Amino acid sequence: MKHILLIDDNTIDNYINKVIISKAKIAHLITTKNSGLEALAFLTTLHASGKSFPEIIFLDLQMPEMDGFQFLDQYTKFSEEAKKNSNIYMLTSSNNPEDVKKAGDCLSIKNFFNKPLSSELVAQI
Amino acid sequence: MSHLNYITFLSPLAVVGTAMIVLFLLLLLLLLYKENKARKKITNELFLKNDWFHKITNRLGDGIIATDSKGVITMINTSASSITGWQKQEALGSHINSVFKITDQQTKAKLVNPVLDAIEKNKNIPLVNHALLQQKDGNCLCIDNSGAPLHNNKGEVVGGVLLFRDLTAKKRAEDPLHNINLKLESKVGARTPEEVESDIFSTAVLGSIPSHIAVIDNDGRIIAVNKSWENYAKNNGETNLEHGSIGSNYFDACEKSILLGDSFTERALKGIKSVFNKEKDKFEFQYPCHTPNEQQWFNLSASQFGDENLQVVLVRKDITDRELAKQANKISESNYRRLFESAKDGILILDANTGMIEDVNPYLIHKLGFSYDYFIGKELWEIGLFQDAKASKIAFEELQRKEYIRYEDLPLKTKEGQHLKVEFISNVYWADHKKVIQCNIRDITERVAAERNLKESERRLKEAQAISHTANWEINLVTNENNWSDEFYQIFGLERGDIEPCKASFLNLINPANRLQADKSMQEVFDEFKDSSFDFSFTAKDGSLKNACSEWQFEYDKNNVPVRLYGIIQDTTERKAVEEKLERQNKELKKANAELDRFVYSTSHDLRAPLTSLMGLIDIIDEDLAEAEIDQKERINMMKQSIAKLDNFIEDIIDYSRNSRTEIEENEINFKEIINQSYQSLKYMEGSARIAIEVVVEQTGKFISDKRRIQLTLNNLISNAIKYQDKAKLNPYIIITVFTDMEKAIITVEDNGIGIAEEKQAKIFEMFYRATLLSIGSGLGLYIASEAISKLAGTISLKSKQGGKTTFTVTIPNLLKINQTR
Repeated sequence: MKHILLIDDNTIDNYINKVIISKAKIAHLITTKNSGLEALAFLTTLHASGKSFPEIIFLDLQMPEMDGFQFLDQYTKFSEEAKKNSNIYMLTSSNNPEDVKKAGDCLSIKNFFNKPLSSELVAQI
Repeated sequence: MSHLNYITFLSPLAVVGTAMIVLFLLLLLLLLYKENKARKKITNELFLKNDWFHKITNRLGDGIIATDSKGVITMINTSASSITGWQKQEALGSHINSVFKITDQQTKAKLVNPVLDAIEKNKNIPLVNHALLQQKDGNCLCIDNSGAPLHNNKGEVVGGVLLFRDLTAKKRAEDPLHNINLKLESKVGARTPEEVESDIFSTAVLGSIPSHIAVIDNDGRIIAVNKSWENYAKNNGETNLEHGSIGSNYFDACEKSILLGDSFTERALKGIKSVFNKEKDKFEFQYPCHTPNEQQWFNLSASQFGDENLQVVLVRKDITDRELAKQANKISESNYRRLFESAKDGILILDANTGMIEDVNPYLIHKLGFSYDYFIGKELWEIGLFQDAKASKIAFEELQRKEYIRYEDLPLKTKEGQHLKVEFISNVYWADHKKVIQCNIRDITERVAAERNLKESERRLKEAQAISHTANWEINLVTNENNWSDEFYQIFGLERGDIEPCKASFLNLINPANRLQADKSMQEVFDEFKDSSFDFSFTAKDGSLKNACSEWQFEYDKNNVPVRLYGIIQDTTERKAVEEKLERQNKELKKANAELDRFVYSTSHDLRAPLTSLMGLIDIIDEDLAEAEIDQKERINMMKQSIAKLDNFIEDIIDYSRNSRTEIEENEINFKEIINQSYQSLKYMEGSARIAIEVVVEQTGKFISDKRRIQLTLNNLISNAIKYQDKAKLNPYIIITVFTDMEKAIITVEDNGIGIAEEKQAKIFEMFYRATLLSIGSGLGLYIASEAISKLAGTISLKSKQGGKTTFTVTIPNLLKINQTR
C-alpha cells in the first residue's frame, strides 16, 4: 500500500481523484494539497521529521502562484535520499504541446496523464 | 587814217619809202597772219586732242578723276561724276577726300585714297577690289579702284589719276557709252588754261589708263594710241586685233589675220566697219586671246568719234580677271545652288532694297506646301512670318541697320493649316557685288515640343522630389564641380546660394554626432569607388531633429575611370516615423498573437477542467448509487459550482472577444443606472447579501461613452469586491463613487476585502493572472476590464494593501468634449 499525494488547485478534482484512488485500494494514505506551495510545505515537514515522501505524486500543471513546473524546480532541491522512492506523474487537462514537451524533458516526471484519472489508469501504476 | 597823212605831206621819195614801209608792213602782216594761222592750226590740233581726251575718257565707263599734287580735283569724267554723284562743277576744286570716300567692304575701315597714295609714293597703286564708295547722297556702292601719279615733262609729280569702276551688277549691265551725248565742255577745266599743259595732262591721264585706246580713221589708219595700246602692241607683236602703231593700217592687219582663218578678227572687223558705216553707234565684242603661257580675254569696243571726219575710237580692255572670276563664280554659284536646293532649312533670298522675296529653296516650298511662284515678289509678312506689314517693316529696318536679326520662335502656317514654330535668322551680305538678304528658316516645332517636354519632366521631377523629400546631387570628378538640386537646399531649409555646394558644407549641415561617421563613409567612397549609402540626422531650421539618408553611385567612362559621382539625399523623417509606428504595431500584433495562442490553450484547459470535474463526479455518483444517499446533496452542489464556473468563464471569454473586436458605441451615460444594473445582476452572487454597497454619483452635464464597456468594467470591479471580501471582517463594504465633468469621468470602487499584495499588483491586469488561491475567477476579469478602458482611451489603476483597503480608479474621457473639439 502506498502513500499518494494529490496536488491540484481544483478542490473538486482533488476530491474526485481521492475517491477514485481509494476505490482502487492501492493507497493506505491519500493526501490532497490545493497548491504547489502547500505541497512543498507538506513535503518539507515530512523531510524534517525523517518520514519518507509519498510514493506517488499526482501534479497539476496550471495552478495560481506556483505552477507544476515551478513546484518541480523546488522539489529537485530535496535530497536524493528523500526522493528515491517517490514518483511524480503529471496530471493535467492541458494539451498544450509545449507543456507536454517540457514535461517529457523533465527527468523527475515519471509520466504525463491527461485528466480525468480513471481507475484503469490507477491500476496501471 | 595815219597812212593818208603820210601820203599827203611827204615827198615822192618819201612816198616810195612809205610804200616800201607799207609793203613791209603788209608783208609783216601777212607773215603775222600766216603765223597766226599756223598757230591757230596748232591750237586746233591741241583742242582736238583735248576734245579727244574728253570724248575718250567719257566713253570709258570707268570713273576717272585727276588731281593736282595736293589732291585737289582738276578733272572728273562723266562716269566718275555719275558714280560718285558729284556734279563736275561741284567736284572741280574740291579735295579728293571729300568727293571720294571709301571704306573696306568687310571691315568698314576707312581706306587710304589710292590717288593720294600714288602721289605720295610716286608709283602706281594697284587695283583694290571690294571697296565701298560712299556716294554723295550717302548710299554705298561697291567699286574697285586704282591710282597712278602724273608727271610733267621734266618727270616731276604734278598730280595723280584715280580710276574706279562701279562693280554692282546693275551698273555693269548699263552701257557706259550710252552717256556720250552729254555735251562736252569747251574747256578742259579751270585749272588747265594753258593748252600745252593741257596736252601734257591729257596724254598723261590717258597714258595712265590700263585700257588700250586707239583712234582710227575711215581707212583704218591708226591716228592715235595711248601708252597702254602702244606697250601691248610692242610686247605682243603687231598682229590681229592687238595690232598697231600710229600710221599703220588696222584694217589691213586684220584682213591678213582673217586670211589665216582667225574668225574672231573677222567678226571684230565686221563690227568695227558697221560703226564706220553708221549702221551702229557702237560695237562691242569679247574674245579670248590665249597664249601658250597664259589665258587672256579682251573686251573690244568701237564707237563713233569726231564730228567732221568720221573716226572710230577702239577701246580694248583686259577682262581676264573678270572672266576668270566668272568661271570661279560659276563653280561657287553651282555649289551655292546645290546647298540652297538640298538644305534642310528653309531659305529665302530677299531683295535688299524692297524686302521682296526673290528666291526660295525647295525645302521651304515643300515644307509650306505653296508653289515657287507663290513666294516670289511677296514680303515676309505675306507668307505669315510676321503679324502684319508693320511688324515686317520693323524687322526689315532692324535688319538693314544691324545686318543681322534672329527670332527664336516665330509662328508659320503651312498651306494645309498646320502651325509650325520656326527659328528665323536673317543677314545681309554682299554677293556678286550686290547687297542680298538671306533668311534661314528652321522648323523647330519638334525641338520646341521636346524642350517643352523636357521642361515638363523637369517640373515633374521637381514635384516628385518635393513630395518624396528627395534631392539629387552630383560631383563631376573631372572638374570637381558640385551640383545640388533645389530640393537639396530645401531639405536643409536653405536657399540656393546660401552655401557653396561642396563636401565640407554638407558635413557642416549634418548632426555633429553623425559627422565623423559621415566623413569616414565619404572618404571610403572615394578610396574604394563603392556605391553605397549612409543615414544621418540633422537639425532643421525650425529646430526639429530630422532623419535623412544619402545614396550614391559612380559613373564610369569607357576606360572604367570614374567620372561622376551622383546620388540622392532623402528626408526620411516621416518615413522613419511611419516605420517606427509600423514596428510598434508589429510588436503589438505579435503580442496579441502570443496572447491569442495562450488564450486558445488556456481556454481549452479551463473549459475542460470543470467539465472533467463534472465527469469525475458523475462517475462517482454512478458507482456509488447503491451506497447511502447522504453525500448526494453535496455532490450535486459541487456539480452546480462546476457548471456555474464554466458559465462565468464562457461569459468572460465572450466579453473579451467582444471588447477586442467591436468598435466604440457612443451612448449617453447615466452612471446611477449603470451601477444599479450591475448591482441587480450581482445580488444573487454568493456573499453579496453580506456586503454593504454605497454609491455616490456626482454627474454634471452630459456624458458620452460606450455604455456596454463601462458596464462590463463595473461588473468586474464590483463582482471582484464581492468575491474577494474578507469574511473575517464584520462590516464588509463597497463604496462606488462617480464624478463627471465635460472632460472626463472618474470612477472609484473601494472595498475592505482581502487586498492584493503589492508584488502582485503589477500583474493583476494580465491575462489569466490570478492573484489568490481562491479559484473563483477565470483570470480574465481585470484583463478584460483594462482592455475595455484602454479602448475608451481611459486609464485604470489600483491602490491596495494585503488585507487592507483596495481602491480601483477608472478615468474615462467624455466623448462629448472630444467630438466637439473635432
